[in-house]
Amino acid sequence: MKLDSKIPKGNLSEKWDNRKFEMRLVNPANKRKFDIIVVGTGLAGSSAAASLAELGYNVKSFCFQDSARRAHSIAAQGGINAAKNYQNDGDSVFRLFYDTIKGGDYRAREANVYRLAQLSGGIIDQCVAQGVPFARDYGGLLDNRSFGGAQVSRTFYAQGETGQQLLLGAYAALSRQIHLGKIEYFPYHEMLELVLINGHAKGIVTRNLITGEIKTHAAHAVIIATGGYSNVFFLSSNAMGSNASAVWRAHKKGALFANPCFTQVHPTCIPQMGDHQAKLTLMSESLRNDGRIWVPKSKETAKKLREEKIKPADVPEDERDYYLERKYPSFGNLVPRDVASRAAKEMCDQGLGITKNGNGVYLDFEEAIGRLGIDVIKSRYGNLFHMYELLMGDNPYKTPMKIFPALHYTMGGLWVDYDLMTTIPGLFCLGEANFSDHGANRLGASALMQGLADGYFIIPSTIGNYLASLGFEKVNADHPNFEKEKQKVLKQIEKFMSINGKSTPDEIHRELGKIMWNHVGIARSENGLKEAIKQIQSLRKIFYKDLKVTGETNNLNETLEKAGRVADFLELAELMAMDALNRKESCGGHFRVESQSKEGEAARNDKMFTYVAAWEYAGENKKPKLHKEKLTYENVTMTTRSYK
Amino acid sequence: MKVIRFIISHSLTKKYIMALTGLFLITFLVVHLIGNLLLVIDTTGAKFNEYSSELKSSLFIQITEFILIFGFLFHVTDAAILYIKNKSARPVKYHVLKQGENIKLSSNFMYITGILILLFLFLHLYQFLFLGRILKSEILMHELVINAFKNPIYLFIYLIWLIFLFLHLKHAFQSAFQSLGLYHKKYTNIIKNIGSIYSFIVPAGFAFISIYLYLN
Amino acid sequence: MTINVKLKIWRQKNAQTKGKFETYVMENINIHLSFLELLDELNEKLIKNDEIPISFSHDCREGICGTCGLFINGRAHGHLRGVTTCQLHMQMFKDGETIVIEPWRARAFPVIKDLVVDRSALDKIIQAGGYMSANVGGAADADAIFITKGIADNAFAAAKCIGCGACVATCKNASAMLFTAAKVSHLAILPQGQCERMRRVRKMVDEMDRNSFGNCTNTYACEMDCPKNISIAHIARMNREYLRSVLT
Repeated sequence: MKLDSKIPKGNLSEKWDNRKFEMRLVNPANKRKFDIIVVGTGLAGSSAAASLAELGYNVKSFCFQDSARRAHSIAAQGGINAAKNYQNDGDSVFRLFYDTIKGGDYRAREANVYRLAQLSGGIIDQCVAQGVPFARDYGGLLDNRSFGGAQVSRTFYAQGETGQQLLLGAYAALSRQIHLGKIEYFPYHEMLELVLINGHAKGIVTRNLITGEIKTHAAHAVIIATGGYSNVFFLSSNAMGSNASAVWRAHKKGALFANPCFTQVHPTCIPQMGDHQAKLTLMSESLRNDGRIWVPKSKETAKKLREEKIKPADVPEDERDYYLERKYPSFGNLVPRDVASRAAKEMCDQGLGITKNGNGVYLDFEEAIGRLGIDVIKSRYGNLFHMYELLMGDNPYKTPMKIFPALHYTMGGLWVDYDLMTTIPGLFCLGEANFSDHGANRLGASALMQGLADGYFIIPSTIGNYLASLGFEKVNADHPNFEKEKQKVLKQIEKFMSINGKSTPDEIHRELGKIMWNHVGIARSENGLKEAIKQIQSLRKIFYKDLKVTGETNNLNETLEKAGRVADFLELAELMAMDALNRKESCGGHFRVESQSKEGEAARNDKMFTYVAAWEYAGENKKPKLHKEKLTYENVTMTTRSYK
Repeated sequence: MKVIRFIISHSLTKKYIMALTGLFLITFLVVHLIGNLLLVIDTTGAKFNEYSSELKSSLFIQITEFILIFGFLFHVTDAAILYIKNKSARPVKYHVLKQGENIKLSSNFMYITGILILLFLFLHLYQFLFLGRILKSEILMHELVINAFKNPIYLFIYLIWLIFLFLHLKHAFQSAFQSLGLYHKKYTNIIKNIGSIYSFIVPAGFAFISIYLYLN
Repeated sequence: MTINVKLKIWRQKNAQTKGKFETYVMENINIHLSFLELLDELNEKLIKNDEIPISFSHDCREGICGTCGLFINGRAHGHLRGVTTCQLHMQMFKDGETIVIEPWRARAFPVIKDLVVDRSALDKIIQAGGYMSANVGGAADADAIFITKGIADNAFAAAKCIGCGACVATCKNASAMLFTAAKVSHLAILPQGQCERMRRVRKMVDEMDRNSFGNCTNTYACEMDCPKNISIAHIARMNREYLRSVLT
């Protein structure tokens, strides 16, 4: 298999226009003859379904939640970037492109990222037309803030709930098309298998989560927009239901999986407080603008803090280690996410952690309250402090917050070409589920931008090019492949129900999370990764021997749903470890302890690893095959990030 | 017929009718109270008698009375329809429901206060409208009223009734404005305050008159 | 620190069968556990005992997706103001307390299983008109329309609705007015929403009526139990908008 990224010819700024002109079109009158399946209703899925239906295609939209509006895009807090230069501070399409490429540590495709920056402005226009209530100033113009260490203010926001407002905008557009009869809507449906006919994606198999009915759906093309796979780690900031089953099952059907080891850890989450914790809650990164991060200098003090024998206030100033300020004097507490996360883990690994299980550092506002006054702090972070107090029972105005990094976003995903088509013809992948735009590290406020660019602007153009190559005949679900895949799904469900062991899916998932966090988490080593692969393989065996699922198959059964998702996580986890093992360099969110500078900073190996690692599924328990897509940088020079 | 069907089949139109008829009845109560004050101003009862005979003969008043009856019937029928619809919107009840924690007493018991007000109203109408106007039109109104309020049981029931009226009005006044969409972040508080004063003063006024008549 | 609690939970196999309460005793509960994590723990026990775990809706567990929603001790999302069920923590409960957990109750929200109800009626209200008909591609520059901060903030305050259905659950009439009004109001406030303003409110309210919700009797319970503190001022605005559309 040869990977063809189909990057158009021409100057960077002309590539997208050139591509659009090259593409074949579907006549407006013929669009209604094509059916398209869209799986997932987050920013990418909803926006794609809505804009395709607006064009006249017949769309079927699927989500496992009870409503399209629940998708986890809703939880994004910070904002959405756009190169509008409304603040007159020197922003431009090229600067946004440059920042994104650099932020991604030179592991993303130039052409894709440039297109993303080009489309960013149009997203804001579209969202405003839909009624998204972005923050405004008193004069009536849109307000911006600077985010994630960017030197320009290009982030549009709606208080701390930007993701929610954007998703509700896309959901509204989706709802409108449902009302107009252009979208058939399937909430409470989970995609469990992809159906291929002659190598082309032609449909899916779903389970109705309420009735348990297994059903096949046929279409001319399938779009997967089911988000990322942070939940491989069990504890993450993702929603409980977020899963990788759709992408993983497509991968097993032949879609290559790119850069699975590129995961992003968010430094300011509320730490784990007990074994039964189900998820981690994110606190906005903006807290680091005024908070100072520290741990005690001595292990003895840390031990006393862990056992709650003393309070943080009892630790005198000269016994505190403000380690980010010490290590990175020029950026201090504002270093990028990956650097801050790694430093926190390092401190805790040295036995300096301050929560009961040793995984936590302080985020202290005492100095800021002294400098700015309590009212300023309240106006800036009041709602976050309130949320923290609800969760932890501590008052952050009086005692420092406890924070720890948590898995937050996955840059890797299904490999797609410039048209967002996977290696399976007719199967497209959008949003966090694909790998395309963030390289090895995503910048703050860029995820929302990518999801909407893919859905509103890119797929409506590119899918036509594929559909125009097909005939107008209706695709029916009576092809034998549909029945075959359906039987496969039924068999798997039967298998889960019949093992009748002792471990619940959650227990096994929790175990997997521990393996992943310890070995494929913030810092990764060759030995650790090899160990992880071994452990994952044996855990997978335990899963198929010792799983326990109760309840019925023809009723709502969350344990059964979870079993299927964990089965996929257990396979994906191994691929992540393998990819991490293969990439013997540190870049962005991927940190290999063997590859660091003298000062302990991440060291890239551009000579060896300036490529996208795309993995081909080779069969059960067989080593997947690696394909490399070489990355070339013609418009930017590759530099080393430094925050000293 | 079409209009009525439209009103009945839409939730918000029912709300408007409730509010409009309610406001109409609220206005009527003020007029009624002012009329009754004649009982206190002129203890001989001459003015009051004059006033009540005027009520009987004036065409204008008769038309207004007709509208009043209609408004009242609308208010009650609408309430009954709403009640049935609202009850059927929750066929299975909660096992534990701490409604008192999140709403005010007066708003929770509008139906009950409404029904109690209605029941006594029949007595009230029988006593003064039916007996006074239709059957024994030669008895002077003043005498009829004095006789009624000299009876301590009647007075007691009347006063209890006024408490229910107070509770009903307390919610009704501001609620009517809310239903008609007349909400303003600055001025709604003024409406609320007027509502509170109104809902107290009107029943208190009636109570004062009745106690005054009893004592004199 | 740990506490013991008794849970009285509604169990119902599906929409067709009748349900009943079951009692479960949970001992030595870490007070840092969230309320839903307590249910997770209970479910794990049930599975190990060969029993069917309790179904309850949840997803983001940080109070924004609107999936979770339980009627806890007689209040929607529990007794605290401005929080969702998933934001409740065990430290908010007393040692030895009996906690009664019921599903949202409304004709428009039929029970699917145990504590899970079908809230698709809310989706239908949005589908009927809760949007601006703005196709992708034709939008003008975002700063072409001036919207002053006050208007933007007011629209945002209405747009914050997470569609959890607590307003319906807590309303004694199971009315969806606050939900519907939040969307009507959000779009009616903004200048972009003016074109479809009259049509929108008619279509949304009529759809609401078709879905067997009750009527609003201005008790304002919804405002008290709304996890996003959405004001009943929006209901007044909807009443005004609808009245205007009926009269014109």
